[in-house]
Amino acid sequence: MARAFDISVERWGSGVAAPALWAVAFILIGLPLGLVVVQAFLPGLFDLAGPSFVPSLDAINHLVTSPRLARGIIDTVVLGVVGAVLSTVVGTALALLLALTDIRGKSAFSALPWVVFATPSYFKGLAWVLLMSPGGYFVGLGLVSPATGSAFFGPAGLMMVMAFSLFPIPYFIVGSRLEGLGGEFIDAARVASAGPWRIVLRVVLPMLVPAIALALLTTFAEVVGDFGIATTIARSMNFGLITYNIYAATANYPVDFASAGAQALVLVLLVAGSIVVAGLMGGDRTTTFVTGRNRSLARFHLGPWQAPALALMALFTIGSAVLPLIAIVLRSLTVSLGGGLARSNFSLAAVRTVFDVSSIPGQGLVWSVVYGLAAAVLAVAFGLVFAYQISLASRTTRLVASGLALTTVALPGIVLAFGYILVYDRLPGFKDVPLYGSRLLLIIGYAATALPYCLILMWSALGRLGGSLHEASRLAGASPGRHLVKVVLPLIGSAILIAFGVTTIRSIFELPMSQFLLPQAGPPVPVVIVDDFTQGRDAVACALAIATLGVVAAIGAITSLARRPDALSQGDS
Amino acid sequence: MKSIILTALSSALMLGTAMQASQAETLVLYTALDTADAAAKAFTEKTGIDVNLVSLSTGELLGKVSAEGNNPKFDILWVEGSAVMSRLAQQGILKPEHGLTTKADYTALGKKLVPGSEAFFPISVSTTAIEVNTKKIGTVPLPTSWADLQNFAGSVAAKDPNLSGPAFQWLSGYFQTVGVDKGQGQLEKTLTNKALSGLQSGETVNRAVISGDAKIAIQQDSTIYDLIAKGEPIKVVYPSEGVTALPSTAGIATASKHEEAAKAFIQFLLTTEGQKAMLTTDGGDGYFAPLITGIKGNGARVDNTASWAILDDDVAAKNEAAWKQWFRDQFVP
Repeated sequence: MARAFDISVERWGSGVAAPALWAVAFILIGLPLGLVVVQAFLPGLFDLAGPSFVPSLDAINHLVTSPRLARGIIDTVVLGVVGAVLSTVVGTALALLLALTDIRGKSAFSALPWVVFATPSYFKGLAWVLLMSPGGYFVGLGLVSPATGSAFFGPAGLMMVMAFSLFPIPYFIVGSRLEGLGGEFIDAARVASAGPWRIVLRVVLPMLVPAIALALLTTFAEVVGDFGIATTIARSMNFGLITYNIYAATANYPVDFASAGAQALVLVLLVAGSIVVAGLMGGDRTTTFVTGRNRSLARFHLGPWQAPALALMALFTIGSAVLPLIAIVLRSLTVSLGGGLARSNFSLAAVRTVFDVSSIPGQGLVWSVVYGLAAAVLAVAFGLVFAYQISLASRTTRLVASGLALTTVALPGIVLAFGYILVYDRLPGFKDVPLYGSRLLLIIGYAATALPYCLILMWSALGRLGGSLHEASRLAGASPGRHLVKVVLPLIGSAILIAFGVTTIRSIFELPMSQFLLPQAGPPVPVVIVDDFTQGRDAVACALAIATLGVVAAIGAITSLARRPDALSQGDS
Repeated sequence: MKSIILTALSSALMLGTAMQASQAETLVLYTALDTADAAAKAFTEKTGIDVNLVSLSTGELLGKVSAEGNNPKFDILWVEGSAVMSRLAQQGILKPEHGLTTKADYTALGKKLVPGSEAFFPISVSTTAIEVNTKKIGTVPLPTSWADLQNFAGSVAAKDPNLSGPAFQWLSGYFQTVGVDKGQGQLEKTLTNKALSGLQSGETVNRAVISGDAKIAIQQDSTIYDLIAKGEPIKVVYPSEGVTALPSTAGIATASKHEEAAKAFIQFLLTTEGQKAMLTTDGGDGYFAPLITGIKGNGARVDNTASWAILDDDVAAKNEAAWKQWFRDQFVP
């Protein structure tokens, strides 16, 4: 087995545009984040009276001396670890089940992670509140008692919601690795008379360890950086988290920049620390699978286990997608929550509002699709070139780049969005660039938020390419650019499409960036939804969410159809 | 590849410039009020001046204003609560516009709410009262005062003044009415359930009350009237200690390049036409108490505004950080 990124055993054409790419990445992510985090030490940097460079450690000290902030940090770490383990177990199991077995309804079940991923966490949290709270639908229908409903809002309920909500990312990462596994390893094990369980445990899982480690890290980052669950269900459980505390520090006048910066710094350290630990444990080792001679995976026959597996998948689908969606749909079709499911409480008024393009929700829907697609084009185009350049660079550069991507993926959008305001409205040299308040800056902000994900997905795909492919190109006299277009792109086309879909979907539902970079015209969907909730129009908010999910489903379906399942087999020719 | 990147960057900048230029003759209104949309449309129809709305919750909007600092991008800021506007005026972010509303036919309360600085102006008003879920309180008598809320300790929902301008206005007004020490003592005995006592928005408070997680809430009266109009089993109680006015106020940025249009907008809001446009708003904000004589509020609103107290903005602004910190430490998870 070759080592990760071994395509550059001999450096090949790397870095003509690398400094420019690093500069763009720094302006997109590093500079705004840096401006927020540095205020943990320079709290007066953006004082109205003028910048003060007097350092202070008060904000850092306050993280320890304030019981509320200290508990927020501890709760976040605990939730991050438990959430990462739970969702990685679930996501890996699902990926194995769908990739390695002949379970029926595979196409439908393959759509499940996309549906769950496409639903923003704040909506999943709210859906469970609508379902399980003492005045919610389940209690109203007599399916659970008010006491059970109340009991749901505890650690066990939170774990369940997280397992149901966060498995798509591990599923995508592990599934992407499985896709390139090639059948020869499994065939070899079969020839050696190994049974399915033994093959999975002794052959497949060990080869998936790097992907599982990456999934754990990414999910840990996702959990600690998540704002949706923090502000909805965790908040209902009296569970204070760092992201919520950052929100509390920033949604105020004056903003407590120092506290926000200090807590953002903690998030960075949490994720960077986990990356260092993974590195010490050898978590950066990956395996090259895609060579010139891959065989497709042969499926295991479930036989008598078909029915139990289907029942399990049905239950999982209901818990992770159907029930939350039903709660949102019901609320979108009813006048009030208190009216329950009485016939007189049903109305199509909210749906009509959303599909009226002259209404604010209608406009929001149209604009968000435009923003999401534009951000995806930007992020994927830049991410592809950047990821490819980095894959040709030295091992140290690659490790630093992947570390930075994983670190930035953890940071809540609210911190990055704040940084964008500081850069484009306050920072000399940037504030005269007429971007702040424009739609373009919102698109750039969305792209920046999604960029780490794009890079991780592309590196994951690039990491599977064998050195023989690049050697062949190099020996044939091809330039790195030609190798990228003619060889790499067809092989990682699937990952590019996934990155495009992921970026579009994330952007359409990205809340903090939408709030803080709200353009002066053309409001995006998340802001409209939150505004409708705030103003008591939760039926309209839910109808808009459902309509947006419909659009997102269409984008997902198109992405799925556009993926070429035989892309890998091209290597056979 | 380098040239492609540079071309893409310069194209992006040019596109940004073009987008900015196309918005040059338009008012930018930062607002936390839902009534702004209808009012802006009516203003545009009347004057031909376009108004671009940047609508966020009060806390998020003020966070944005705070981050923009002395380079604000709004022409007009319109939020609920006067204390924060007072602070913005003191910091020079808002510009005094003396005599701007001399022609406005303010009610008695409206006249009292115009600050001496004239850097911001009351547009509409509401207050904070007691919201009761009549189905959930059982046989316990309805509360009649803030002090009575102690009987429902653990079941009382409230917004976090750190995230909500109206909630800070309530907290300041409550301390002004009953005294800081007594007020803090009463709240510590009332808001004993942290899962309910530091909620983010009025809607989360409503959700808690309607779902039955809370039986009672400290809530803005306009949103209570909205729930009543929707048929929810809700009652509004004005506590016997008295309530403090919560005006929505609008001010013009010192840095605004469209000062005359901004002044015209605020003057329009204070006309019968402007107020009636605001009253067409669907949702809680549409149930405000009008500040222009002859205009009646929506729904079941009773006009008791004459008895509402006026907040001492200077005292509130002076104690803002300390009171918010106290509330956060006591009641926010």
